[in-house]
Amino acid sequence: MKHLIRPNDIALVASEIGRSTSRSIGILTGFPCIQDDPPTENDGVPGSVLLGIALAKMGKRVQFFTDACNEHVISQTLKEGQRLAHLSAETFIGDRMQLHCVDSLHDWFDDGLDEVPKDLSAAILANPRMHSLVRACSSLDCLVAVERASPTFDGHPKTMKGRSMTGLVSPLHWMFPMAADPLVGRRARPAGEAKPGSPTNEKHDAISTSVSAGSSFGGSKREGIHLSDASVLALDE
Amino acid sequence: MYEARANEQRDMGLSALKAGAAVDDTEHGDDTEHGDDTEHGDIPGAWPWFCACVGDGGNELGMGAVAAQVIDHVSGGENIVSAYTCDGVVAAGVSEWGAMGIAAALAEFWVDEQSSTYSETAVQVAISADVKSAEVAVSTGVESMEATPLAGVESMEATPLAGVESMESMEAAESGPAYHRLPEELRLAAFPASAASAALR
Repeated sequence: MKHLIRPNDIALVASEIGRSTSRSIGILTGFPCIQDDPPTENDGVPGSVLLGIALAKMGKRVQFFTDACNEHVISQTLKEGQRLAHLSAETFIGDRMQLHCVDSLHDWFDDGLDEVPKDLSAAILANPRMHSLVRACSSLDCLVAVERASPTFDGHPKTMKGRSMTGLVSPLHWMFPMAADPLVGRRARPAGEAKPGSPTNEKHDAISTSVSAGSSFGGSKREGIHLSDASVLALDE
Repeated sequence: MYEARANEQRDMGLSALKAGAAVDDTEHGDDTEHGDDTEHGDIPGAWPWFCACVGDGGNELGMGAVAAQVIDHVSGGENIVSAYTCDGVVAAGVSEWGAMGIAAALAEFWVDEQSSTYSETAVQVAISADVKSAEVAVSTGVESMEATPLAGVESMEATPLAGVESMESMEAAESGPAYHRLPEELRLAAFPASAASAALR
């Protein structure tokens, strides 16, 4: 784990989300890797709620985003946190803190994952439901993902054991920028030794093509971002 | 070439989203509070955001920022590493602790900018939450916890800013009864872990 640590980043993160100009913070969480119902991994949920409450206490507006399948766990955690932290519903839930639950991918399309729009931008523009999510996000100043599932370079979000969670995860990752391909440096070799079409290059090209084509999930066929109006839950009951 | 294409795709997506949001804002007329964005004037206060992530294995959203390290040091890393990056990476043995470390670091900054009241609250929340979440993580056998049961200590040691509060919380978590010595008002965030655990049962 120590190899993944960037020692100064925790200070960077705290200073950015804590500064007075960061008035609205989005927290993405939810890792549905458990093969049970609900599938929500509990690592990350308490921490994200804790961080959200700390930010709310600093006077910031906090919006949680997660998958529909995680709704029960996270909403109950928020409510219990509200109770035990002595936060009034009027002050926090619904005002400073909101929970947005986005449909899991297999619920986005009438035919599940078999029929998915091919063009990412067209799918975004053509679907008025996207506006709900954009509106929820448009006022955000910072985003923090806490133990949030992410697509890998083949387009599938995976557990540590490599099991795909594609159907359960909603495409909240569109808020984050794509990473540089980690295989690029590994392919580096002296000029003249490069062999286009070699197995290494084929693999890299396949990954690059898949990701650059907007394959948010599962290869070039699966593109598009949607949000169901009904799935946006504000805890201002 | 890859990055250029990725950025092109992202710009295309963001342009589409911004266009949609601009229409949406016109329709709803809200969010004027954040209407001071000059670089991207067509949508108030929107992109680019500051993005941060908390992760404990490399497959979490944003951990693509340390993709090379994930591939080198995590078993099967090439297969599971996130394809998305971010501006700030907080890695911890258990993601819970990373989030609490941020809360503790927030307290440090908050002292300078505001009254100490909120700072103390944030630290208290971080300390008390850490104790219970560690207990729950152990008892429920979180996948990442099984893999790196004590890595959190190591990660906290490497994050000096959050070190004071978080190390205190780590000691409290390990000693167990320390939690019960905390005043009632310091146990504020024992809630999340117990709630999550109850929901999963």
